[in-house]
Amino acid sequence: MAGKSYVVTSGKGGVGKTTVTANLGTALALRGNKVCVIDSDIGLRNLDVVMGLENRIVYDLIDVIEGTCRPKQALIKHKKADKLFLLPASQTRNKEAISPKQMKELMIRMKEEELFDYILVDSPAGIERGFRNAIAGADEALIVTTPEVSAIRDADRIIGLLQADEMYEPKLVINRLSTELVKKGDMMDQDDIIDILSIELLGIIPEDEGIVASTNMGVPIVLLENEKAGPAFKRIARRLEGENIPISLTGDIEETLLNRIKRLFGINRKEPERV
Amino acid sequence: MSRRASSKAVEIKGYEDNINIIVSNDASFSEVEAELLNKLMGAKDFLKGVPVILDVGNRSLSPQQFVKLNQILNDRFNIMVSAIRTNSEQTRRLAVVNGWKVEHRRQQRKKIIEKLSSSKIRNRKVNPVKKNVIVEQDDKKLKPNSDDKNDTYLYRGTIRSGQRKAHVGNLLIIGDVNPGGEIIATGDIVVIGRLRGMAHAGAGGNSSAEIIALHLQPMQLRIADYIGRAPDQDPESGSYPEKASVENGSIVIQRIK
Repeated sequence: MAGKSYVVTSGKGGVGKTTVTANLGTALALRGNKVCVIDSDIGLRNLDVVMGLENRIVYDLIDVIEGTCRPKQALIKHKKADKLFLLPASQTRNKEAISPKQMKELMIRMKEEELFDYILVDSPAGIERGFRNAIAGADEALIVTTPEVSAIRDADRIIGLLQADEMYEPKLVINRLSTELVKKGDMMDQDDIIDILSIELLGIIPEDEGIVASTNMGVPIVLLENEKAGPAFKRIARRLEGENIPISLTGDIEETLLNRIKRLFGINRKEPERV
Repeated sequence: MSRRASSKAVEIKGYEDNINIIVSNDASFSEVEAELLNKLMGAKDFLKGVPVILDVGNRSLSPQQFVKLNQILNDRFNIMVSAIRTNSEQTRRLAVVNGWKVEHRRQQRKKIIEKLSSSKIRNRKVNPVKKNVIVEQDDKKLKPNSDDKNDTYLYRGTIRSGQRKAHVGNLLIIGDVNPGGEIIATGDIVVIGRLRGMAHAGAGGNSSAEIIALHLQPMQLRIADYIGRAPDQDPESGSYPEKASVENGSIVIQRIK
C-alpha cells in the first residue's frame, strides 16, 4: 500500500504544529510504521530542534529538491526510534526558494523511493508561499488549534483555503485543552470548537507542562514517561492508522488519571499502547 | 443611444477571486462611459476590496479615454484595478506608462461563480468537481418575472473566515456563515444556519431588504447604507429564527414567529 502524507497546519503560529508533528510522527514510528517528518518552514526551522537532531543535519529539503543530494542522504534517522526520519528545512534560504510543484514532486519521490508509510509535513504559520508549499503534496490535512478564538478563526480560514485546493476533509487536533479551565467555564470546550469549524475531530491534547521540558530536551514527549499529552498523541496515531478509539473530553484526559489511581492502588494494568 | 446597445457596452462578471469589467469592442466610448458609471453605481459594494480586471478587448484607447476610465474607476469609485487585459499595443503601452499591470490575452476562467450584469443573470457551474456545491440555477425555469431582484442564488456549505459570496439578487445560504466570512446581496439574505459573520443585504441601496437567519449572531449587519454591529456585551441570542430590517433609520432585529 502506498504511503499517506499529511500536512500539519494551523494558520496561527504557536499553537503547536511542530510539537504535534514531532510527537505524532514518533508515535506512528513506535507502532512500527516507517515515518518521515518534513520541516517545510524554510528559514525558520524548528522541527530538528524539537526532535533533538539539530547537530546531525548535513543536507536539507532544498538540497534534495535542487538535486544536490539524494533523499536518503538528507534523511536523518532518529536516535531513539529507528523507523523515524527527519527531512530538515534549510535555515539559510527562504520560502521562495521552492515552489508547490517541486514540493509535490518531492513527496512522490519520498513515497516511491523511500517507501514511507506516513509522511508528516510541518507547515509554517501563515497562508502565503510557505503554506502553499506545505500543502502541495499532502493527501490530507491535520488542522491544529488551541481553544482560543484567534486560533479558531485562523483555523477556519485555513479550512476554507484547503477546500479551495480540493482538500475537503481536514481533521482537527485540539491542542492545550485544560480540563480545569473548561470546567470553570473559562475555556471553550471541544463542542464549541467543532460547532464553528464543523470538521472531524481527530483528538484532543491536554495542556501539559511536560511539553516545555520535552521540547527543551529535544525528546518528543511520547518517548518520555508521561501521563497527559503522551498518551493523547499515541491515541491520535492509532486513530490515523484507522483504529476506532472514542474521543471524549473526560475520556481523553481523565482516563489517564484513572490509570494513575489504579496504579496507586496497585492495580497495574498497563495501557496497551504504552511503550 | 438606444438602451439595448448601451446595456451591452459594459459587462461586470464575477469570478472566483476577481471581478472582470468587460468593455465591448463595438460600443462607442461615450456609451461605454455612461454604462460604466451606471453599472458601477449599482455594484459598488461588490467591487469593494476585490481585485478588478479591466478587459478592453480589441479596443484601442486614446490617452484621453484612458485617463477618463482611470478617473471613473480609481478616483470616483475607488476600485482596485489589478490588471488591464487588452489586445491593443497602444493601450498596453498606455497602461504600462501609467503603472498598470497588463494581461495580454483574454483568459478563459474555469470557475464562474456569479455573473453580474443587469441584463442577464445566471449561475453556471462550469467545473463541477471544484469547490463546494453550487446549485445550478437555470433562469428559464426560475423566472417569475424578468426583475433581477427575484433572482436567488443558493449556496450550500459553510462560508468560512476570509470567504465571501456576493450576488446580484437574493442570497440563500444553507449552512453557517462563520466569523470573518462575508455575504452580500442586492436583495434579501436568508441563512438556514448560523449567521456569525457579516451580512449585507440590499447592497446598492435597497433599504427594504431583509436578513433572516435561523441563528442570528452576526459580527455586523448591513442593509443598504445602514450598518449595525453586535453589542459588545454578549447578547441574549436565542436559538430561534430572527429577521433584521430597517425601521426608522436603524437596523432592527425581530423574532420570527
